[in-house]
Amino acid sequence: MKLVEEILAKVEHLPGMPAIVQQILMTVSDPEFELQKVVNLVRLDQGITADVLRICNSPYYGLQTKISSLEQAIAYMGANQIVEIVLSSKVVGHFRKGQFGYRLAKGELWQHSMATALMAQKLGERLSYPDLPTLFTAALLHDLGKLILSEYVGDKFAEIEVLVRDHGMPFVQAERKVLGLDHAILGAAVARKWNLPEPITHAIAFHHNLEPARKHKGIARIVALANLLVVHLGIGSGAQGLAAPVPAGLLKEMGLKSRDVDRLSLELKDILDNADDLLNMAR
Amino acid sequence: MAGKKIIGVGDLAVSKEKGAELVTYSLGSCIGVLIHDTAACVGGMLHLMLPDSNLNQERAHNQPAVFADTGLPMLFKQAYALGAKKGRMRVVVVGGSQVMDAGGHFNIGKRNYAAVRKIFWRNNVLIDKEDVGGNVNRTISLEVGSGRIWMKVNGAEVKTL
Repeated sequence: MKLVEEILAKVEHLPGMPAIVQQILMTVSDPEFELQKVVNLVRLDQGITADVLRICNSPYYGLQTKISSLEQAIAYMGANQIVEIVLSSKVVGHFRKGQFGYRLAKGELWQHSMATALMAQKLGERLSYPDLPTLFTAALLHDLGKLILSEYVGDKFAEIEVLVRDHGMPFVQAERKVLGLDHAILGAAVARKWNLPEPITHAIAFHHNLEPARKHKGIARIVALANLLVVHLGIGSGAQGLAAPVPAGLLKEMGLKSRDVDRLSLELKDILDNADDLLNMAR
Repeated sequence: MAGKKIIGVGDLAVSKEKGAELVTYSLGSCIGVLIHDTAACVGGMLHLMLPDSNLNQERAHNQPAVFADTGLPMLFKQAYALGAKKGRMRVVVVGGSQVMDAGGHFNIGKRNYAAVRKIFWRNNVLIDKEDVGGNVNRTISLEVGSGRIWMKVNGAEVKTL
């Protein structure tokens, strides 16, 4: 079996995404969704309320009142954030191992992914992105491909490293050259297998290269920028280091300047300082 | 403060405990400045994020270690308060990487390094050793008792500086 086929076959063997995730994403993608529908869905899942309450009461959200029920949580935090917490608690299980091929210890890829998701959420609010839970999920899952590719990157690391270190090639491109595919494309394949909506699969596929992202460029751009901000602070970037390409024209297309990158970096620091409960869910 | 003390992004610490180790993870575009005075057994570490406090004065007031121009004076002052002397201090600078950006908007690493050099030059501080730039992330550690400094690049090789 060719290496690419062998890697793609692994996608088939990954455990599936809980159906509730698709149901929630589908419900909230309608801008006029009914909150009660989400509440009913969430209630079906035992244990989820406990997660929601624990995270709502974390310092990141800075609520003055102690939240003790799902209804109260939704009233205080808004539906979008509750949906995001629910989605996080349903996907975190996939991230509870180390990705040692990328030199990421247990919990580090999650930390990187959650920081990216929280940053994307802030960018999305600022840019009035219409579907924040979908954006959040896309950002949270942008490196999904690394869950599978880690093993192969580890085996071929010497070759990848030569391309990155000695030839100045972005890590993602070196993966593609050595393995025949990269973590972004593979991640999109997993997301498709999980029946996640197209904006999510596109944002995952194109978070390092926006050019082919015609239809869902808005979400792909936000995920790309959030990821770069997290990478440039060195959070959970592991073996890849900072060898990530900035897509041409990214900031300009978003109406941002260099100074905005500095300001956004400060916002990211606040996330890192305050969102421990979310960032360390996979430890 | 014996044992390991983790310095977060935009934070600093000084110590004169022989058994203390100051560590900071994941220096990307940020810069880690390590100082050590063997005679006084004082060590300090700063993990600065951005070059210039003009960006946000309020932040500079509340979290001076975030910026080069407010963090460096604070690091040195705190080390002096523990008995360190400028002339005896070893100064090591690490970090200042970049993502791969042809447009130059993500050049925070370069600007951080330039700011650190300028401040040191103005204050007659010499850098004894540095490992700066590139597209890597770096983890650094300083053992206060011995002054030993090690660095890990991209989570792999360990080098003594």
